[in-house]
Amino acid sequence: MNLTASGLLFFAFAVLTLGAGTAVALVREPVRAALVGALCFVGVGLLYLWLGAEFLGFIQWLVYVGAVAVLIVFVILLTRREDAGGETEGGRFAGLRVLGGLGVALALFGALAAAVLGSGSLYREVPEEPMVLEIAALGRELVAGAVPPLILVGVVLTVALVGGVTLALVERKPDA
Amino acid sequence: MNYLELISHVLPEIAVLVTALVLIGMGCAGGSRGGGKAVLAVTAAGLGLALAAVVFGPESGRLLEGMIVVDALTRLFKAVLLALTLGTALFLFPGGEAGGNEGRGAENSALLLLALLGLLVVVGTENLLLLFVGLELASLALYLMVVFAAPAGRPAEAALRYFFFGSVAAAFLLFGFSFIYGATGSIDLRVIAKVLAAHPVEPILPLGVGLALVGFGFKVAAVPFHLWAPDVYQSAPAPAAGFIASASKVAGFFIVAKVLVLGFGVVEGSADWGAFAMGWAPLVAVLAALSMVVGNLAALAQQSVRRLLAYSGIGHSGFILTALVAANAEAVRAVLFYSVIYGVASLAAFGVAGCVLRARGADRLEDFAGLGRTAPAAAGVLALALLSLAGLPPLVGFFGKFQLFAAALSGGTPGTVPGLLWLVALALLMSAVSLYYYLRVLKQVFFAPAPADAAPTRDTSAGTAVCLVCGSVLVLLGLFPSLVLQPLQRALVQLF
Amino acid sequence: MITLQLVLLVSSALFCLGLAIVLLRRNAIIMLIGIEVMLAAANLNFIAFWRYGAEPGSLTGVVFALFSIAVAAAEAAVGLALILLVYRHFRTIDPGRLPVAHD
Repeated sequence: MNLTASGLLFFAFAVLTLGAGTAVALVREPVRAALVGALCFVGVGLLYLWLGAEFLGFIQWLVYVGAVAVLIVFVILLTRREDAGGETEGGRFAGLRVLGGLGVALALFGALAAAVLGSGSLYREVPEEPMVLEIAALGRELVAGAVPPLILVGVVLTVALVGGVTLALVERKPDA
Repeated sequence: MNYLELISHVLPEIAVLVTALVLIGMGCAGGSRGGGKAVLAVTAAGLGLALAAVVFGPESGRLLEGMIVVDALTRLFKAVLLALTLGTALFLFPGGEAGGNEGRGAENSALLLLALLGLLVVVGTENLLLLFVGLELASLALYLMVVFAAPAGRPAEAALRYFFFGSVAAAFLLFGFSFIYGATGSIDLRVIAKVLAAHPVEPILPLGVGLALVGFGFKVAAVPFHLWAPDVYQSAPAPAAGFIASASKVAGFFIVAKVLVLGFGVVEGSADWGAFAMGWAPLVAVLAALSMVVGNLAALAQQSVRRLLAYSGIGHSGFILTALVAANAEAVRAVLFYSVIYGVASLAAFGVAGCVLRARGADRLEDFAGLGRTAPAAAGVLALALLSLAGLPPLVGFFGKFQLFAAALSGGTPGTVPGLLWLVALALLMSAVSLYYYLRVLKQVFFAPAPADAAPTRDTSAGTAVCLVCGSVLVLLGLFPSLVLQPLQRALVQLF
Repeated sequence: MITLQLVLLVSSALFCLGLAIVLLRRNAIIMLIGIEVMLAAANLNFIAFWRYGAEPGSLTGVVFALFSIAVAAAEAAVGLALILLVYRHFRTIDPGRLPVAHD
């Protein structure tokens, strides 16, 4: 197997993404976990770029790294308390829970890997011609074929906004 | 593509969306003093308009690669969802129950309508993208509704639990959809079915369907994806719980049946005894068996009536999925019919539970004592709803269950022992178990004396009217099931 | 030399990693990150299938990924609002310390 530069890049991005993801599961300090989470999202964006979907890679960085990760860090700071202590070890069943969680995740990965490796048609290389996601074509698709989901996503964001605002409003009332 | 044509096919959804936006505006303008009556009037008017748009709108059409599908079946179910939501809306406003959030009826009502909008979109599409976005819209609005009326304490915890289960389920659904897209190159269910019929199936397709099944299992609260349901049903305001148990569940079963039978009939497999073949049928059979056993047995131990209804709902998901395993036209008809009558019965049951909760401040079994004397109408409706859920003739529940089990037995080669006999036998056993806990509630209602100091249970006229309508629907359909069955049959003929 | 299978294996590992984060961590905010990781894995799948797909003209996979990024952002916002609400009442965001409704 001869590694090309592009192949090496793919492996580097994949290792970065999966490594950061593993760190999220292991790092105890919430802020650090959130930061390696952001690194994981950066890696996912790099994989999008590698696949030729530049626009989506940038969107991924803007939305996840720029907005969601920052929001998450803010909420962590808002909910931080000195006496809150670490995460519960879960008493008697902690070990059982960890084993169960790991077991479920590993079993799922086994099933996924078996199905992916068992599908012969997936054993194909990247098409030779470079594929660039044309933003103009994407825009045309959004206002032609994808109008209903476009509007509906607007409604979804409205729900999130209305929900967040009203919950915050309610909070300001004095405790009855 | 013509925008006007598109608009004419989604008029009901537009009516619901505009009404929701008007309500949000009213909420902003009215501050914390939104008039309950005005909100109710706007909500009812919007739902009425949407219903009219369903009835008088185009009779058929398929736009944008199956994103918007209008046919007899989708129109029927949109009408059912609108009616169930109208019932829920009438429960939302009896006042008093709102707890720490009185006067936010406008926003609450808007969230209800936006959840409904998501469900309407889900029912009226054969496109996986729109299906996913619609389900997410409904889910997000429902998380917020659970917490909205009383944002402190247990509802917040229940909403967070609901959120985590729902989000993980949504991720499974999306991951499954991505494999389905990869295996078939399309996200249009009809195209997918055509591709699958013409090409050999690779393992990633059943994998995708299995992953999507996790997401659907959450939506219909099937074991083992049910853990959110008891807390949410118990802690959410009764109307929100009623909506989750009725409209949301009806839409869930509709879409499960449609996706599995229409899109993936090819990879059904078999759950017949002694002839198991991998596919989605054995997975659904396992979900059905687990749901029936866990739901009905856990319901026996409950003291809170809403929690009891939650577990009974899980059990009913099992009954309904039992028929789905057979995956023929008869089974789809039985599944859809039963999901509708289940929705009506749960709405009525949650309505009465809400009345008792308002009057006595709790919904333990003892709190229902003497209801038969203090509030005969509510008690009568509760009896009708529970006996229909238990499947006693002459109520429609009996007929519906009979159809479910007959459909499950109809599959397989004629003349031999039906392959799904094991599942139906389990269902009959669990049905008998369910009778016991329903009768436990009714015993309190009719035979236990009311505590002397108990506040008399009263209800608003709107709530009583909804309960009475639900009750009479259950009796009427029990006597004349063809009222719903015939339109359903006609609609399904177009589909198969 | 990078086959579609390899990309799918990476996305599958990412998805299971996200699930493991949700199942193992007892901090609601970190669990939320896990959910976002799962959704990102699904988007990676969509883009990979688009890139390796048979019809280069079709944008379906990319459009799906675009919409699911938007939906995931809305979901994160609602989730964080709920987490804050729970924190203000119970002073903890550890699901293991919340009083579970058991009666």
